[in-house]
Amino acid sequence: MEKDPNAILLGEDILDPYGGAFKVTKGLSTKFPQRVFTTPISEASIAGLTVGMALRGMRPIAEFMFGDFITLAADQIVNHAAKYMGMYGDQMKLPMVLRTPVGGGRGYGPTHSQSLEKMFLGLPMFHILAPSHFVHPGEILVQAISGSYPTLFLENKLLYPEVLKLEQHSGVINRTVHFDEHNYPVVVLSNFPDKRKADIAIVAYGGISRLLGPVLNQLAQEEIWITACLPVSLSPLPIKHIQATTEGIKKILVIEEASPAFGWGSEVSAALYDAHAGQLDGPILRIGAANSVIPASKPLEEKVIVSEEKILSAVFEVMAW
Amino acid sequence: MVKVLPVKMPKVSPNDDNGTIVEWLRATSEEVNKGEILCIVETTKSIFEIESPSGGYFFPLSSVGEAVDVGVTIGAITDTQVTQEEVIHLLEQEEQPQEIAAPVPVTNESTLTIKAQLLAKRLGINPAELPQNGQRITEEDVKKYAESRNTSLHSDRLEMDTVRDRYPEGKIQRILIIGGGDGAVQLLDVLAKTPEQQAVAILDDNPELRGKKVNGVPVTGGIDVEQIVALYEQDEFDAAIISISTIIKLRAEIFEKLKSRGIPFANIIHPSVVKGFNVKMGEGNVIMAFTHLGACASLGDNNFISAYCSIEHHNEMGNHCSFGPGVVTSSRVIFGDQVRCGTGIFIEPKIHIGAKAVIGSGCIIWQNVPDGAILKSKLNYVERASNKK
Repeated sequence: MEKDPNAILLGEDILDPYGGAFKVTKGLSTKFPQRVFTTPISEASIAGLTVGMALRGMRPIAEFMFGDFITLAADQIVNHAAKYMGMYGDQMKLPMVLRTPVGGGRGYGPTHSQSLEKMFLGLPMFHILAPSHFVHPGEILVQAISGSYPTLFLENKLLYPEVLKLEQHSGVINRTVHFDEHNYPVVVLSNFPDKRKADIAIVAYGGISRLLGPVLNQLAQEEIWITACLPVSLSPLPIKHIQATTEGIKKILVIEEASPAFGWGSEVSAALYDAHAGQLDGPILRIGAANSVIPASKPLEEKVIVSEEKILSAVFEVMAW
Repeated sequence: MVKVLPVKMPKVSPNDDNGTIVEWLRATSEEVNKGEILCIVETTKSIFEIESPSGGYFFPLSSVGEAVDVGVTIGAITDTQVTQEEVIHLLEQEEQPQEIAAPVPVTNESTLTIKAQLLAKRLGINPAELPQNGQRITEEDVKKYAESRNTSLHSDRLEMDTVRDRYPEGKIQRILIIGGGDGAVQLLDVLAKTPEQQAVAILDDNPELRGKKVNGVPVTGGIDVEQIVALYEQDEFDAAIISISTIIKLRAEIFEKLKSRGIPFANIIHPSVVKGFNVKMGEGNVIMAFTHLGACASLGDNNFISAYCSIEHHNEMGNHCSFGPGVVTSSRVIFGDQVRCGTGIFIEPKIHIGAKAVIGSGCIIWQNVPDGAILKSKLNYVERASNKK
């Protein structure tokens, strides 16, 4: 906001002293009182305003308090934000960012814990980003705001308190970063030191990164070598990078927080089957939330969403093939 | 004994991990009734009241304005009048940590890494026999151990009797054939060429076959375990064989039932079968014409191997497997139980085929096949039907 006077923030309850439900905007309304606006409870109008501002040359950034509410803005996203750049070609850009917290694990129940991004994946000229804690989310947010495309920016709730892991080596975990065609990072993690081939490739994004650290550490103890690919951009999918990272690895596991049916993992798997036909040891295993509502009770919620234990048992299953 | 009940900061909102005490409504050691309001607490979204969980004397233990984490004691109720110091002392005693359970002894299994466990399983090594080194046993350790005892790995085969399945010389084995379909015809064809074995009767559940003869052998009744046991006890036959090859589940069930009743099974082997040395075989196996069993191959019980199969040396086959014609394996392939193979299948060396796997005709297997897997070859399909009538 300091760099660009056209950057404008809007959303519900984002003003100080509350500073937003997850405190992401805390302090900004005090520092930039003319450019931070609290809005009525209408995601459709927030999105509409955002599209309008972007059309007229501003760089609006809107917050939806919970990702679950994004369906209220579906028409503005699908029929407006995702259309104009295609309809008017080079004549215009639509630099707008819709930020929203997603995911479960905090006992918020069926309507405040979902990962609904699959409903918006694959829209042309519309980007969906989901940073993990292996990248710097602030830098990616600035990149999205400075870009030309309307962007949905997903923040996993459980990543908010996580410490960023940006080191090249951290214990047994090595981290390298590639950049896709829109210059968004594709993080590649491995839990083995040398040039050997991984036993299993894991492809995942966003909040799953929180589980991958401990999982990769534990699997190293079991001599199970993993290469994990974590793209920031979900749509468009940097499939060439994912294909290159998983090339030559015989077993593939795709993990997402949403329920896997008709989702991101399905698209990734289909693309990987195209690239690695005949080279895999078995079917690509996809894991995600159970196809169910997310219970408010924490013990029940744990049964529905992805956990370290579920990933480990999936890995052991794949290893036994 | 004074009873003390702690009052803890409740979780009233998923947004907050603590609450701030706004006001105490009861004084220290004041008598309270169950359900009476003790204090007012503020969270980010609302203000709420905390009620007394029981009747007694109340002791506030946090101060106004203090943000207290959820689950932390903010006060206490006692059943008798005591001093505040006594209450704190009692609570400390109550909150003594429970004794930590003795650590579960590490089992030998878990001293192996998962990779090491998988390799040990594949090599048939019991984890308990691996040398301990005080650290976790790695894949490399298992490999070294397997190499070190490689000579002894197959020594039992060298001492093995190669003709375990041979019937006493000079006596004809009377065979009861179970199942009267095409399999029975094939068996009868083999038996016509094996002078030491002779079919005496066929059993089949199809009532239309009852009383009829297949190649001169009568179909005498249905597949009834009690009936078969009675026939055996009356010395009507010496050994049974199952001719059913397509329904493996049925084949296995009949075999297990009859075995549990003490019925012996024969091996029916076509004279053209080429058997390498040290081939080991259980009973109830059917091996059709021109099949090759490589040296030191081992078969369990009740397998049905069609013509022109080649089961190469050191293959290990479980029980109740059924192979169509032309299944060719390379060395040291291991089959689980109840594997079903179609026709025209090639299998690379050292492959493990899991139990109950089904391998479609025309497959070329170059990787391990998990239990219960169904493999299908997609090499050919009808590309275009001829237009000519």
